[in-house]
Amino acid sequence: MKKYQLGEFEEYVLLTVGVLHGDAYGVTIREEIQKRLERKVSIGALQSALRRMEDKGFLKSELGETTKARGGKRKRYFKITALGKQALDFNMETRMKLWKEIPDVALQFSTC
Amino acid sequence: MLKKLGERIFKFYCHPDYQEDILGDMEEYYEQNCTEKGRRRAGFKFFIDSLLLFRLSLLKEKLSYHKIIYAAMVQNIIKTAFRVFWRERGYSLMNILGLTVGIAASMLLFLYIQSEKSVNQFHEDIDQLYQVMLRQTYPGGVEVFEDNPGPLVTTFKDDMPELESMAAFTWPEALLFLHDDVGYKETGRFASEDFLHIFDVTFIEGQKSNSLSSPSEVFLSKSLKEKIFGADKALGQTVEVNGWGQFQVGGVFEDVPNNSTIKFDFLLPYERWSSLNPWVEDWGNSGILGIAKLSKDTDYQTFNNKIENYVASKMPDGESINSIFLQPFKDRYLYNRFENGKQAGGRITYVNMFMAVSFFILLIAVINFMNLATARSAKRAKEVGVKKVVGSTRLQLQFQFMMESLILALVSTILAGVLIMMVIDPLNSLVGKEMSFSWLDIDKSISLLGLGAGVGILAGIYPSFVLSDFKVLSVLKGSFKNTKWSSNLRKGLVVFQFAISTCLIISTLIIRSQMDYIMSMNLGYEKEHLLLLPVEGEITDLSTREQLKNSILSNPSFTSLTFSSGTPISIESSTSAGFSWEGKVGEFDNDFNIVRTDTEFIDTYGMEIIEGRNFDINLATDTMNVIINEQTAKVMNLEDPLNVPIRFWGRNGRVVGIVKDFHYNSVHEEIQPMVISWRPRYSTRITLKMAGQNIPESLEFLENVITDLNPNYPFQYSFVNDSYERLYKSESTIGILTNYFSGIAIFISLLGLFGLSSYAAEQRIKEIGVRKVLGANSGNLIILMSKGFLLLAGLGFLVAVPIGYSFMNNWLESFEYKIQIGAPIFLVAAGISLFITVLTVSYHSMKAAYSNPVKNLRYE
Repeated sequence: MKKYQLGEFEEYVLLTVGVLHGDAYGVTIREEIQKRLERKVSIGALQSALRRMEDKGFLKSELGETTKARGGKRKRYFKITALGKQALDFNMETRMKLWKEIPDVALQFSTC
Repeated sequence: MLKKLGERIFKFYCHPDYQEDILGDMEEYYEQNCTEKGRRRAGFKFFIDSLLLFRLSLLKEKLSYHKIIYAAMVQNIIKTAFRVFWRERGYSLMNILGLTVGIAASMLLFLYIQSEKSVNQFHEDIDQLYQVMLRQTYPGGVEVFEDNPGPLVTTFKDDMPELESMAAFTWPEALLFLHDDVGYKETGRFASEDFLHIFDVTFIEGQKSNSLSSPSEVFLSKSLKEKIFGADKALGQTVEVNGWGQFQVGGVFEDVPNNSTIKFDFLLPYERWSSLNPWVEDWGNSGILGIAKLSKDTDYQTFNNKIENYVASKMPDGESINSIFLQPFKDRYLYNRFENGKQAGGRITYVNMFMAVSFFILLIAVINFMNLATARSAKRAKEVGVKKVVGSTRLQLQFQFMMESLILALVSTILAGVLIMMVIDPLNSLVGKEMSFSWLDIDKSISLLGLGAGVGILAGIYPSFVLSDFKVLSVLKGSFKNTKWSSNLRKGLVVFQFAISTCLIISTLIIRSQMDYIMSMNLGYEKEHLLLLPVEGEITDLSTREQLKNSILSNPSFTSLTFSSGTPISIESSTSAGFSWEGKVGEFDNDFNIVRTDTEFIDTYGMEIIEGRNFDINLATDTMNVIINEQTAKVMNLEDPLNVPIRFWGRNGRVVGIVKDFHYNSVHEEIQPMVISWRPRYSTRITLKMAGQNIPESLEFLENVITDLNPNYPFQYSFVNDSYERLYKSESTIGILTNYFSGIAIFISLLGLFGLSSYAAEQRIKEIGVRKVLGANSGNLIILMSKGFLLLAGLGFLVAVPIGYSFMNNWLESFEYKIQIGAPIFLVAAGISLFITVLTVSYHSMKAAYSNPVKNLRYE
């Protein structure tokens, strides 16, 4: 289904936004992904993924409060939308379906 | 700084809805990086991130609407650019080579200038620091010295409330340090209490406060401490200094940076020195250096007016030829020359000169690019025509050509960086600097990129206007020709290039012949095979000296030996008040010099007595007598100065001889009156005349003799001719630099000429074919082809002659003894420039002249 198309990185971002519920903005999302996946995430890649998914309707955002370290600039908190949840579900289901349909034989690695 | 720039760039392209929160995020990262990696790194990272954030989904609407078209256009421009570069690879290579060398050369000069300008600037309060200078007024002129009267140390600060502090220090002196029976001969200074509060050094051990106040404390530099004490702590340890007993180490400071004019490896309290040199405590004498710190709101010029009569007011009769003034310490290095008591430039002249040279080298490379681009514009005319027909605006075309020039400049800049890294070390050792360059050094790589971008824009402006200006109709009809105007401009630029190069050739030749002249001029004494040794340790004892002299002269490799207070390389000077004769009126017009020595001085240095005789070793009365030089004889203005009764520094005697004038100090100065007196007690130097054979063996012999006497002193010697050459170190550095950089300028202009000549040959290939068919021989054709360029080179030469002449004449003014700029130098310069022009141009001329006319005329 074209409607739920989600890239690998986008999926991670979406999931992370879910994990961080209520505290998901640029800095925390990036830290979380870097911590969990142990890989470098560039600010550009993360931000463009976030905006892309907002355009698709998987995420919604609102401006929040600011802190001293931000030079008076507000944070933008992201939340998963219903559509986003459906996309995640869809992805999971398709994957599980495929997983289940692998015949047992294909996964037997006994040394014969 | 970078952070601001990054923020601005980001705001330029980012969608306004996203700006606030993303920038906020970046601020957070910035703060975090600041604490982890420091402000500079954080700013740099912020900048890079703001560039990397350039993503389609984050762009402003206006930009994203055009983004597809722009991306395609830029892509097309880049593609076309590389195709053109490849199609005309010969020219591109020439352009890149020229620009690379040009950019590298001016960047190197820029680094050199920067390192000259950085001298002494490391002091935190540099704007408040001043060196105390002394002006001596004679009837014949005013001279400026760094030496000041000794009592200044104690009185000056108390008398002048404007002074925050004032410190005296001495000229560098080499002293012997003894620790655990190992001797070290080191150079350092004596300095008064406030010195370390004015002069910025960081202490590693001990404290600055109360430094230099205890008479038996010594302060060591880090490297000297490591030499003597190794890795151990030195604070509180003792070391014997110069046989004056044990000194306690009061502190260890970081080595004085290389870009300081005041250098020292150790500091000793000033009182030690002044007690050994009581003469300095007289207001009429001068021998100490002074550095002062003015309070923040004091204007030094007003202060200088106030202190003008300060020294005079301390004299019993209220008069003195000496007056002191302050020179800002930050200017001390670059503005070091005084003429008649007034500031008259100095090293700053060279700095400005190199600034101009670096600018001109770049200009030559830029001109090359412009000339080649416009000369070959006919080839691009069709492309421009078609693009215009399809609807390209003039602005877009200009953008295209500008991009091409920028791409070339960028490639050249990167190559220039590599080139710089390759040559910077050899250059450092040539000019004795510690310059460095690395792409990782953000400041320097940014200034290099800026330089490259500037060159790209400068080189691209004119071609982009010319190329985008083609009329569509005439281009596409095929009736297009280069305009007369643009080809005249091209010729003008070539003349300009040649004028610059020839100017540099002339300067190189003149500097070189002046240096040759200095090195080979008849100084009135012989500087070859003369060896200098310091008088120190046991040798200060008069009877030991006799033994030493006998044992050295028993070796046939040494022909004579003299003890003296100065050498012709550096001589003592004084006012003439101590020298008088019957009928003396007033004082000397100028400085007055003294050599205190023994009977062998004149012979050892091979000087010539033109009247009278040398001191006679068998005549004890000769210790009262003096020998004078021709200048003194002239000043004394007597019919026969020989045997005239004189009084010199407390001894009544006669003039026994007149020595032919010999040059001492540097030849920037005129020879002054001088008196030689037989008082070997005050000697500081031994001069040995060597036969000139078996020098290594003789040195070994000498070392044995000396170390027998002074076992703790490291054996140190120098040659007079080396010391002589060192006097002209800054001139020879300038000579080397002009040599290389004029070579580079010439190389780049020849590259351009090479390109133009190939273009000309290409254009006229049919004409040449026809001429050949009609019977012209190759020789005629080569002359025909080269004529135009030779004319341009000739014109350039004519422009260069007056400029080069007046400029170099100015430079020579600073030498009292100098060469005459004559026709030969200009003839040689003309010869060189015409010869290389012919050489460059003839390649393509010859190729064209020898080509087969059938090939070139086949299609007519």
